[in-house]
Amino acid sequence: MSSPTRLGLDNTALPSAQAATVGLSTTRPIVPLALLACGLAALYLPSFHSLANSLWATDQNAHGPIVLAVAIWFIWRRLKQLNASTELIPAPAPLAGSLTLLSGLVLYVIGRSQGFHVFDMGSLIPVLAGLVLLLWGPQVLRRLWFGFFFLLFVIPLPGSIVDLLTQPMKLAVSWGAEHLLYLVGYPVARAGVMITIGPYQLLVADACAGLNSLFSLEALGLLYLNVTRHESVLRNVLLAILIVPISYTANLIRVCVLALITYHLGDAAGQGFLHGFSGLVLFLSALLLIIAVDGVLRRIAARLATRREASA
Amino acid sequence: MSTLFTSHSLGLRRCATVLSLCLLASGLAVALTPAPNPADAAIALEEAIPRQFGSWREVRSPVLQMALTPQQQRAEDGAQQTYDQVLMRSFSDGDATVMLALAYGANLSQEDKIHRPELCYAAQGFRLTRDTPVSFPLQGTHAGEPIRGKRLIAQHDNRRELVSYWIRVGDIYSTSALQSRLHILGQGLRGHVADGILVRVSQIVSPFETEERIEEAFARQERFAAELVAGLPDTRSKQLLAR
Repeated sequence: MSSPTRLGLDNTALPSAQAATVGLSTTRPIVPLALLACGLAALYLPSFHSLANSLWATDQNAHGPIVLAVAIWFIWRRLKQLNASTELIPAPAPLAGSLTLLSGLVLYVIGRSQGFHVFDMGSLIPVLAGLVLLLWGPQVLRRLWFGFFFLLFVIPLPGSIVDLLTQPMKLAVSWGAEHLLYLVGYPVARAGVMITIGPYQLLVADACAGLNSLFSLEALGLLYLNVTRHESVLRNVLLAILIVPISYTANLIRVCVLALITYHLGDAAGQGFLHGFSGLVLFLSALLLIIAVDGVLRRIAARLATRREASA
Repeated sequence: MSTLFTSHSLGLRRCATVLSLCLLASGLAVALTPAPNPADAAIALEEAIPRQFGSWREVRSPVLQMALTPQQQRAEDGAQQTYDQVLMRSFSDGDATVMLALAYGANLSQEDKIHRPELCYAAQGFRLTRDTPVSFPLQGTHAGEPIRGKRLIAQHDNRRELVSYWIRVGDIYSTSALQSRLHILGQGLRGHVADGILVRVSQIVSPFETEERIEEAFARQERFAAELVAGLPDTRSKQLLAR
């Protein structure tokens, strides 16, 4: 073991002096990293597998895997950034780390064995946070907070809460669509979540309520904010809040587009391929709205800044 | 330069310990997963529930029953996918017609529970103008406790429904979602998968009915349920009751 082969992740870059301070452990970190990856895979691959066949296959939670992938990508990207910089010196917190990890594992065992995805997926946060504490300490964890916050969106909402929130949102979207279409002169009427346009009756479905798209859009918007790294806190907070009405508007546009397709092209068109297409309309309009709102906010922020400079 | 991915931070012993903890948790989760109830353990409600009992006799009714899940508009749609058995019938005693709805799940979990009528009605745009606990005039458990359920009045436009129901989850009559969750969890950790059933009796009344008549109607509904269960042999009623 006197001459370690230079194949590891960082050994190649390590000057020999630093290798000497590392001292006793001459193992390449690739092995420990693989061990950790195996541990996490043993925990969560079965969970992902069963989720892929149940909740993630439904409209309500289809955003789950995407948000999860983005969260993991974000945490990994940030870790690599921190790894490359020299500003942080790891200060592991073994006690806090072990306790967090263990509580996460208990949550996992209960959730996984009892088929409770809220615990099952929820355990990702304490398990990963415990790992970070155990290996590098609280300072690194603090730098990763956004990734962990993002993981919150991966936890599926319990069905009863979804059902409770869905109905008022459905009503609000139907109400908005009725008024909008009436305003531009279409023969439209509404009873609850049933919209009558000309000879056609449209039932606003759960997916149109926008609860699921609200979460994916909120996640998307927050990621956009974090990646573009806006300097203005006000602008960040405002945009994060504005994503709620943006999501509503996008859903409204989707329902109106569907109603117009049905009205002009017939029932078959509205229910067929074009119905799937309306999902695309939703995301495109939401993205455009986010960019537009962000543009307006940026202009306001810039104007405020110049005014402040002028008065100073 | 590398600050985080060093062999100092990622000590082999530390990572091996984490791996073994993860493997232990993963194995424990598998070991603690209760086996589902066999598919043939439940009796077919369609055959178990008589078409005539006491003063009641099945009638054909044009009225569509309210959904048994919050996602559907009508009881006929989709309930079959959510539950293992669904039964819907109307009965008349000459004076009044009541609707009976049963929804049985052989393997309940935190994700698949019996949907509470409160939510199902609210999801269809109904407003609950009354939501009170009630004890059915019937022995609910071996210990002699009554069946605990609820009385609801649900209203939407001109349709007003009186609903009396109970939900059995495993060994208890559950009056809240939290109670159901905790019981399913407790049973699950002991290695049993709880089954459960919704027994719902409802009727449509005029929105202008007097309070006195409403009380009478509720009492009749609950008597109907009690008579139904009392007429069944133990082997057939066990799916409806926690005894």
